[in-house]
Amino acid sequence: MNQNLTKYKNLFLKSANTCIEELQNASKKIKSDPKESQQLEIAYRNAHSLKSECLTLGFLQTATSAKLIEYLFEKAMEKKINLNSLMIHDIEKTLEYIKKSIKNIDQYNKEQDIEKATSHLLKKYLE
Amino acid sequence: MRILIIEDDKFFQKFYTSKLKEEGIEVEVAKDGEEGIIKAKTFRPNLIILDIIMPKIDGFIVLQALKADGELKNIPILVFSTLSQKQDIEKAKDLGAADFVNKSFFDYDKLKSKIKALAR
Repeated sequence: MNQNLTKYKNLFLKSANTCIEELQNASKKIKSDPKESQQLEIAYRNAHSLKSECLTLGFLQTATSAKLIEYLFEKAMEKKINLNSLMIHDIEKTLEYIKKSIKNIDQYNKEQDIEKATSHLLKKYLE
Repeated sequence: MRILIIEDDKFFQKFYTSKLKEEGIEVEVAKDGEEGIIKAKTFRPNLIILDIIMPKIDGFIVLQALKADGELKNIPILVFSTLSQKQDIEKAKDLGAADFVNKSFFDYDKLKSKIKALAR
């Protein structure tokens, strides 16, 4: 992490962990009702926030994974895709990788290398 | 100098406020576009920093509303966003934004120089 930004680390961690929790809660509700528009919007906003915050602080891999989640919820909100159970499973898996990365940032001021773990998902949905 | 930040994300609200206050800048925060338009009239900022992706009404609509308001149209607006496509930047400028800053790879010196240039 950029030296000048380390003093904002705790602010970032608090926000990121809140976003992840909100995303996990929303995903659970969307699992039982994939068209639940309010939960889709909550999920989209939290994924967007997480992505933006990671980008600002230079955590690119974590941001890219958040972007995947943002993309899927955005398309679901726009009714361009129907979120099925496999997609929700992929979202939940990606969230777990993001959680690991956030933990790494907390302990070592740098994100975990999650590129290998998430690249097939990024290829599947974003390319 | 007085800057109004229109931004829904709490992290960015606190982050930018803290950075700007270090420079002795007076800062007001609005959590969405509707509040932003109201606070622009009451706070009378020298500059508005505006996010695009926000709930209720997005930043492009807020930008249009600010530029259409006789009292507010001359306040320079610096758009902040992770949207980075050429068309988004062009859209913001076509709607009257004075400049556009990408939130990715935060560069405070760059932000400071843009603020200095705009909030004269």
